[in-house]
Amino acid sequence: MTGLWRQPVSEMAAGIVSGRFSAADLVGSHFERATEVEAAVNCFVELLPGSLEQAAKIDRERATGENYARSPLRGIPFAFKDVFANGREAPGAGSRKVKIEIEATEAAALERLTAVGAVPIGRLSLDPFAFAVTGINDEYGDTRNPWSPERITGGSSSGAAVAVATGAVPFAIGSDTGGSVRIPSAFCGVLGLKPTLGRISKRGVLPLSYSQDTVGVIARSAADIALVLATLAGYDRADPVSVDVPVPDFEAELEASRDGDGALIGIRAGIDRKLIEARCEPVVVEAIEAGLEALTVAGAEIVPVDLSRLFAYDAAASVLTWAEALAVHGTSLAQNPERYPATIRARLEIAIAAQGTDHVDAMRLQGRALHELLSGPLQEISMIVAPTVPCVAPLREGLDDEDQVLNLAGRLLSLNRPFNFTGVPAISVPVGSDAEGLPLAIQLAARPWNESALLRAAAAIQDRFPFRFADLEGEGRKTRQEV
Amino acid sequence: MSERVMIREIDADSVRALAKARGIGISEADHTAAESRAVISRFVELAGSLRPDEDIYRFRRLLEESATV
Repeated sequence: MTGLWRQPVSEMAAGIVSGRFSAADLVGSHFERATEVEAAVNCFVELLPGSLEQAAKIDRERATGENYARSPLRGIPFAFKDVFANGREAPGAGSRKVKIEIEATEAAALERLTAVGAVPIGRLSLDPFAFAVTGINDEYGDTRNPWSPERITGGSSSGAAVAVATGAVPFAIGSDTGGSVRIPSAFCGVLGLKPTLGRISKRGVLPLSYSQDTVGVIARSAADIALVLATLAGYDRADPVSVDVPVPDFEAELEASRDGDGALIGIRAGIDRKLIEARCEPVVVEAIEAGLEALTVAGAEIVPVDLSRLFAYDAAASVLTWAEALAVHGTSLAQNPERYPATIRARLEIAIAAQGTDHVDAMRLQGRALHELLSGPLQEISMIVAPTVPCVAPLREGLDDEDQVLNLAGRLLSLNRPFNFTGVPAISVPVGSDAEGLPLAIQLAARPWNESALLRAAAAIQDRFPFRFADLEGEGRKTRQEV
Repeated sequence: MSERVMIREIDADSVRALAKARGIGISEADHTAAESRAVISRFVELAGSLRPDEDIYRFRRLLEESATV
């Protein structure tokens, strides 16, 4: 059956339950689409042929009733960034030359998804070691932006954003240390959620920064993210960063807020226009204003807020990342420095100068930053509105120059890393496109554990800016005026 | 050169000396690029303002406590 890949996750699940189509039909449709997508944009490291057999097994279980439990994700295909241990092999991490061994045989996130019957169909491409934000990868080849092949995808979860944008999978999981889920989501026109630090176990995920790494979800709608988050969220004693807190019914809370008008009544959203105008190109400033309008229509109150203190902590987040990344890669770097891409090697080498006290100070500043955020802006408002990226996806040309790559990384990370440093949840949501049809985005952040508020707001924005597939033929590339 | 070179003293020579001590062959990258210097400068300023009682556990404590608010 063709075209099944265009449906929302809830309709896919309903189709399987009702018998309109089988899990094998659904996975087969996606496998076909993923093969087509891969040939055009290079977003998969590997497509997993065993996924078709897994889907057939789910159909047999449904027919016999044996081992069959209903789940909104049963039979739903997905893909994962190649930083998750999958039970067969260590994550490739975007490098064939360097192998970083991790202990877990299967990542907790993959365990949770497959336990409810979700079907992994592929491993997704990324920037090497998730330590860059462009989607450029000299070993595997660049992942190409489906909206404009001459532009970068952003990263490091480049393959995840592209696979979702093109319909190869309805959702994907990635990792986010300084924006690695949100940045490619913004450049590729999909939603990307970085939950609260500790909400999803990162056992079995290749580390980059122990204190900031977060498993994230990329999907086409707030409703789809709610379904996936409900499965992934939960305490895991094997992950020292995991926090034992109640897990809300994200789907029910989102649905309840959609009953009637004014889904965001009672929400106060804070915006620092001075900061946004100083850092972003005019087209992004305009897009954020359009996103604010959508929030206002849904009942949110928009208030000014000063976020200069929060964003100043980006420097501490950098030092924390450098030091912890070197802890991950130090031995390998000493043994085989020539196997590392130049830009990543340079960042790791800077970290050599960071001593123990610097790492301790960065961790102490993490506590101060969160304290200031909770007792300051997030005391007065429910939500922060910010840019995800300062521009549309940049051209690939010119990004072979190390200085330009590092300069771009600094601009992109500085808007995202403060939310990793403070551990609060943040989501990137599409807000239309520029005159050339390139996706634009807005970022929302909330108090720790309040992903539900972000999903409500994201859904309200999607009422104004519905998701559009990036058709490989370019048919989906329409201007915002045409939306 | 002191073996306890701090990040606040970063320069090309200190990076190379520390790399050598750790057995890491250093590349020809410019480790004193303006971007790196700016980050380090801001970090040093932030770290210098920490009080002794601001410990490394505060972050985790706040994160857990915020679940009950």
